[in-house]
Amino acid sequence: MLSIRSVDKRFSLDGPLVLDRVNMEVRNGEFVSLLGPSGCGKTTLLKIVAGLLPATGGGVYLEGEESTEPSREKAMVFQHFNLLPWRTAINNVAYGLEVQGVAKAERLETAARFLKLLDLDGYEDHYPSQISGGMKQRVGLARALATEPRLMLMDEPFGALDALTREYLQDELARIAASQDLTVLFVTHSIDEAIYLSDRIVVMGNNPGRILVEYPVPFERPRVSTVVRADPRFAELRNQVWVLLEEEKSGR
Amino acid sequence: MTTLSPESGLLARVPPRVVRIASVVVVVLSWEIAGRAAPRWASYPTEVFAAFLDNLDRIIEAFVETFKAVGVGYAISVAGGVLIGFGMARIRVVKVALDPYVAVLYSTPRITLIPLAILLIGIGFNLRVLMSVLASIFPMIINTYAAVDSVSAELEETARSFTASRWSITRTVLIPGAIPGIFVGMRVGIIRALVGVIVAEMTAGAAGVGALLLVFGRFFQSEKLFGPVLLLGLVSILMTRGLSYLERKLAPWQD
Repeated sequence: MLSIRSVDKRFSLDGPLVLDRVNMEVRNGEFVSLLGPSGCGKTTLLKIVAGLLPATGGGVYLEGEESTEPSREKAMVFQHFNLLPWRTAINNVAYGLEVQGVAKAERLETAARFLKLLDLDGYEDHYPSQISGGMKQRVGLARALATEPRLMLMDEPFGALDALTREYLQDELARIAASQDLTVLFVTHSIDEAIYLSDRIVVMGNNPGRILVEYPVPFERPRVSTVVRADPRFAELRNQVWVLLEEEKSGR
Repeated sequence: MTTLSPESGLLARVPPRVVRIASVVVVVLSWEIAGRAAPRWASYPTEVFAAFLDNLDRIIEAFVETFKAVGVGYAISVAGGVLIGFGMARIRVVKVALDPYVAVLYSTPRITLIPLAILLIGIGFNLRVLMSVLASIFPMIINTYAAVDSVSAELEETARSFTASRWSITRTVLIPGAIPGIFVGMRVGIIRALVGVIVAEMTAGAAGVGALLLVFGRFFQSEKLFGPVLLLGLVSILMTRGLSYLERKLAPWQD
């Protein structure tokens, strides 16, 4: 489905190499996490996939077609929600559909459906300033889902939330990913979150940003958070990734 | 009131509205008494009020004349200021090209331009419109520019990620994002537009409230001066209140 081939990134001609020959794939229906320390270029990579930044070398391919611009096939969820403060929840959810030219009645109906999917019915007419952080991100999720993208791009979507809300939304995302059969590329710096949610974890290192190693996650989906976290394989994988990241840190 | 010491708790509990009314009553009464005691030095409220009613026709005529110029000048400033501010914030060439004019004109006391303006366009309606535009367009340009420039780049990026075109980014992100800042400019601008017209009327003296005040002043008719001045203040307050009301209607997402 998504294929990242030999992607390099520099922010200026003589600037440092931010991404160094990144190669990876995401298959249909797969949930893949990009995990790495801050500054390793994982968000940059995600933005290149989204078409928000150009790659300096290499390319991003969706179903074999090169994809360099934002498109309807992709939708993004942001760390700081990025809701439009002047739009109510339902109009924020309808936003993607609106700029994509969907008629008003249809986009509001779709938006209402996705608000409901995220347990936000009753909050249609609330402005972002009137709802909590967790609810804002549920609006952000609904906004991306409402465009029914083939690929969801998520940039540390729970990074700005408190621990409880974060776990709650992880469960919510796991449930929706299963029910909607989503293909997801998910950026995080939380090892636990990556293991709990993904089928595969791609670990990135710093200076220059590059892929260190990939781990398959050995749990079948759907998963139950408490069961997964209690499994000895969870602790083992967690430790493996942690040691790798520590070595990477002390190696420089 | 709340900063008073706890001992004056009784005074602190008087509702602000009552204090305000009492304050006005005290000032007006003292003015009346002082004015009557020294009639040659100043007029007093009852006399001011009587003079105001006597001259109502002239005053209304002058206000209509003045506010025609304010209306036209302000409309030009709002439309032009928003367009120029937007252009400067979004198109580099426009900013670089216009920066010097904005900087120089904004820091020049605009009243000094009146003699030149009279030479160019005479002392009629156009002069008053021009002075009101010169007085009010810069706060519009500068506030619009700052507002558009401060719309978050992240929101623009978000819009782009949903395939928004340049125009839909302008319509759905930049314009709504700039509305609060534009209203700041509009509230400053409306008062400036009024001052600009009055200054033109007082210096070129052809018509309107400015000219009327000048006539009253020249004949030492202080009782006639106060009415129009107070009315100007009242109208200014109503205009800025009206703009705040409009802003709440247009931008209801702000607290």
